Amino acid sequence: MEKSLLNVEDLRVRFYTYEGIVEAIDDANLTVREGETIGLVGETGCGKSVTSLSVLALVPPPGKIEGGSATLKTKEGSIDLLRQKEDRLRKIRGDDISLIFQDPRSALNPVYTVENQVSEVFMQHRQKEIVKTALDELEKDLQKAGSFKKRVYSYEKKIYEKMLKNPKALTPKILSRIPIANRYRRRLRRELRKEIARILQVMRIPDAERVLDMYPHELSGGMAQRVVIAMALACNPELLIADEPTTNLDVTIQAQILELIRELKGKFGSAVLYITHDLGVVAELCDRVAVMYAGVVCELADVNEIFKSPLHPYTQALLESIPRPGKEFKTIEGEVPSLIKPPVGCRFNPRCRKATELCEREKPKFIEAEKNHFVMCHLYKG
Amino acid sequence: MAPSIKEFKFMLHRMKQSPLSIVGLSIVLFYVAIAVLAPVLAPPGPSWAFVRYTDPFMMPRPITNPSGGTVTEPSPPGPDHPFGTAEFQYDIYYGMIWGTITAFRVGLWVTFVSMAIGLAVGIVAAYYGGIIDEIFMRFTDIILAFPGLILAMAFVVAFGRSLDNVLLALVLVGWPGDARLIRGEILRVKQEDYVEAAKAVGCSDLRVMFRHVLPNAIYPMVISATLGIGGMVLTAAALSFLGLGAPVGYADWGQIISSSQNWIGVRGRTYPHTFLIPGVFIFTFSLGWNLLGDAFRDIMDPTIRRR
Amino acid sequence: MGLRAFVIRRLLLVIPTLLGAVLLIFAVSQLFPVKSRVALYITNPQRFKPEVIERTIHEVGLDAPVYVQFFNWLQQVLGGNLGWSETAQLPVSTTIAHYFPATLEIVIFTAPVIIFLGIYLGVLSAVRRDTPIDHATRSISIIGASLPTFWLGILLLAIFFVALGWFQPGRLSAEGINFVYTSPNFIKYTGLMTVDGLLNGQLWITIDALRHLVLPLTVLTTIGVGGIIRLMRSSMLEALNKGYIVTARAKGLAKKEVINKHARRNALIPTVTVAGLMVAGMMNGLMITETVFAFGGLGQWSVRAAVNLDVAGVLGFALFTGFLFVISNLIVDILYAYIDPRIRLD
Repeated sequence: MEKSLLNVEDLRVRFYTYEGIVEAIDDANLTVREGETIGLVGETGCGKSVTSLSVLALVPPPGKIEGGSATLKTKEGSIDLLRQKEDRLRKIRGDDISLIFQDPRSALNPVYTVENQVSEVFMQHRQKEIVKTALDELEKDLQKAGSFKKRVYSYEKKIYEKMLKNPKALTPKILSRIPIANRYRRRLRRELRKEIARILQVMRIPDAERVLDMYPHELSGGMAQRVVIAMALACNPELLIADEPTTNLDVTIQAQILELIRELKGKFGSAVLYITHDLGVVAELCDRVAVMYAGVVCELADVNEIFKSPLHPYTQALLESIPRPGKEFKTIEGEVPSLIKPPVGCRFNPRCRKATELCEREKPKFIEAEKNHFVMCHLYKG
Repeated sequence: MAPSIKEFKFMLHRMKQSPLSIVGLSIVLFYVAIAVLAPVLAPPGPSWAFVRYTDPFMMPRPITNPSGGTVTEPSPPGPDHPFGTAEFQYDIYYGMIWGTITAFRVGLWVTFVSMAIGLAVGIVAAYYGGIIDEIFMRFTDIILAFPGLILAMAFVVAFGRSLDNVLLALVLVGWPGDARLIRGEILRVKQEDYVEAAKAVGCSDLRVMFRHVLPNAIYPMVISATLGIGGMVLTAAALSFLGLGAPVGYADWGQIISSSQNWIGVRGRTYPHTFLIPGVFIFTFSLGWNLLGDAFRDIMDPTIRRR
Repeated sequence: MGLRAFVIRRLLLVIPTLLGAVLLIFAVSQLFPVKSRVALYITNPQRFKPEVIERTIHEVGLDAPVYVQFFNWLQQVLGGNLGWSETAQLPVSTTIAHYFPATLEIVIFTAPVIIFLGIYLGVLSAVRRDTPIDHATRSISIIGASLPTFWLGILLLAIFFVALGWFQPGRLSAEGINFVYTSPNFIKYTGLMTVDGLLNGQLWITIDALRHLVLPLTVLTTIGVGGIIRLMRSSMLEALNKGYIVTARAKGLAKKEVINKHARRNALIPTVTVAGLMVAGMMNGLMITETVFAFGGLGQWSVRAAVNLDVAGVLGFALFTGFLFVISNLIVDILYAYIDPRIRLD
């Protein structure tokens, strides 16, 4: 557990709707280790996305996080993300933990350019560095300048120094609205453009300079997703949560993006929580896998372990149902339960072949059945 | 439970949830009651009336001023006249009761006729497309290029001042809006997948139009119509107020306020009953329909329905 | 394509619409008897006299076929001649130019208030959905939409003029009018009393004019702000549901910035189009408000013309407002393309 970057314990999330209270997530457990790629698989609606949103406390109303903890290891020590104030969370979002979504085009605001949206991440978390670089350049220009330009530059210098001392300073913000006074931003913008072009190139986006000035609707699906990934990795996060990033893309583009993610992992060294319903991708990309069903994490183990010897009946049924040429097509009997009145006891028990009377009565605990192999099922003892 | 019944129960639940929609409904029902009971509430030809008209919509009036002033001066509420009298002694209470019928006449008639014409033109344009659609768009564009009141005013001046001509003018000014609305909705619905599916299964064009396209396209129009009734009454009242609508003495709320203008500030008095009472009637009538229309919109719009 | 190409294309589209508007007015004019229509063509009242009227009819071509009449009239309208107004005893175009500044003055002060107040309250209402603030704002907007404009005007006059004496109807006080129209020192640079007061160094005129604008502005704002609030609210709610909002928050942006920068601009898109319609609504409201407050503007004159069956006056006014409306729609469309880059492709 010492190497764990993020430790989610007993997470509980409820949605209060007209039709009733939806027990979306019930005692979910998950750990992400530094630098690893861990997959989170499950059917549509099992709660994968809600889990990722909960980690960053971005669950939309009528949802509420009602229990559990999400401990993140930071430079200042471990903190529980579910109990932090908004200000602290904002420092983490986009900087320590980044989140990317399924549909890249809807993740980008249609009325702003790529440059505008990517620069937001930089200005939010790396403002000091950008201003410093600009200041250094300014010093150089100041040496060479004539008397008139010297005055303009010293005005710029004063603003930059103010921004360095207090990132939230009002004066620079006010000045940025006034037509001629806001020219100080030009230098900053140049720096930003360089940074953004750099990261777009890392994403293998050709002709990055031109893309900067494009609007989202002018980008193809693959390009848009690269821009989104660029925004997410811009500040070198420790953890990248990718919520089905390739589901909406063509298979060929999908392969490219997966390759890109693999490459970036090597370059940036971040951990990746890869959410998907595609077991094939999991097999290729992930070190460990967590399997989710109806709002609970039912199994968590190394990827090889999961495929070789799955412990939880659901995982077993899932793997059996993968279509293979020559094999009979198998399905899992029954339907995913409604989460408004979920089954008492183990949530899988109505459909489980190995269900016992205990399974109907009592909820199983999340235990380590074998070394580094966790399962939530009464069949196993820790 | 069949889905439609369940949806209907949900609709009622939502209506009950929103107190404003209940208020709206109550107001509208209140006015309906008044309109229906008008001959009972304000029988034409009361005893104090000197001038009796054959048309029940002309307000009766006594020969002298009940409060002792001149014949032209309005008199405040009193025993024979619960709401007082307006200029020339027209009984305001009578005007309010029978004015309700006028208001309904204006609101409902104009809205329905406008909607009917708009529906017909809009369906034809959307169905045939091509040149017919283009011509139609240009034509409505031109009418819509003018602010409504001004064009209505021009029509009234051309046709002659009367309430009926006001109604006609409002219809002429109003149908292009409805037509464009229904045309836009039909075109939008035509693109939806379920229409394509219906065609793929072999439904005839007519069946597709009436069973699939229209029921989905008509919602915005119903909402717009309900919301429009309130506005229609306001516009008609404004035209009457300006002197372009109902003649003096007719039971029309706007017309009664028109004469009250002459008395504001005379001898430092305002004669509030001459404009407050009719104004409250116009205001609440319009408010009731607007609240109801809002409630319909909140309930019927499928994208906003569920929380 | 860029913004520039879009603007040019849009400008070209204005021409057929304006032509159509002239055609419509011409069609309406055909509803009047020939003798009334004479006023549309000439600016010399002498030619109306019963002795010469037959000759005048022939001279202006009113006995010619319809399309010839239209062509003649179109030519003259393009030349700026809109006929003679009986009520003003002046050519129509002169009358319009004379009364227009008063109306413009009201619009200049009222439109920004309605727009900015409406946007602000609409955003507030959406962000604080279902709280007392939301309910209060929605109540304001629905009450405003149900109030008869003229009634609100009369009500305010009764309270603030007759009872309290704080404000008066009209554009300026008696001293103000006297000074502006008779004093040789006062030059009407713009026709707008607020501006002219400043330009002439007579601050009291500006203040006087502003005082007289308060009540009309209140009436128009109360009635007009509701539509903007409602639209802004619903489009904000829609925008707040979109994917880019969560993305923005996941980047670490503050809620306030997300609302103002990301959601609002998208929500403004449908609102901007309605703003164009609002200008038309303002003309309607102006006619009534100017009449109630005796403001001496275009709206008040048009009502007088209508009541007195001044054909040239009414039709000339209709044409003029139609023209204004088409122009304002043009501006709105360009603004729309500026805000939403997706439109420029069309």
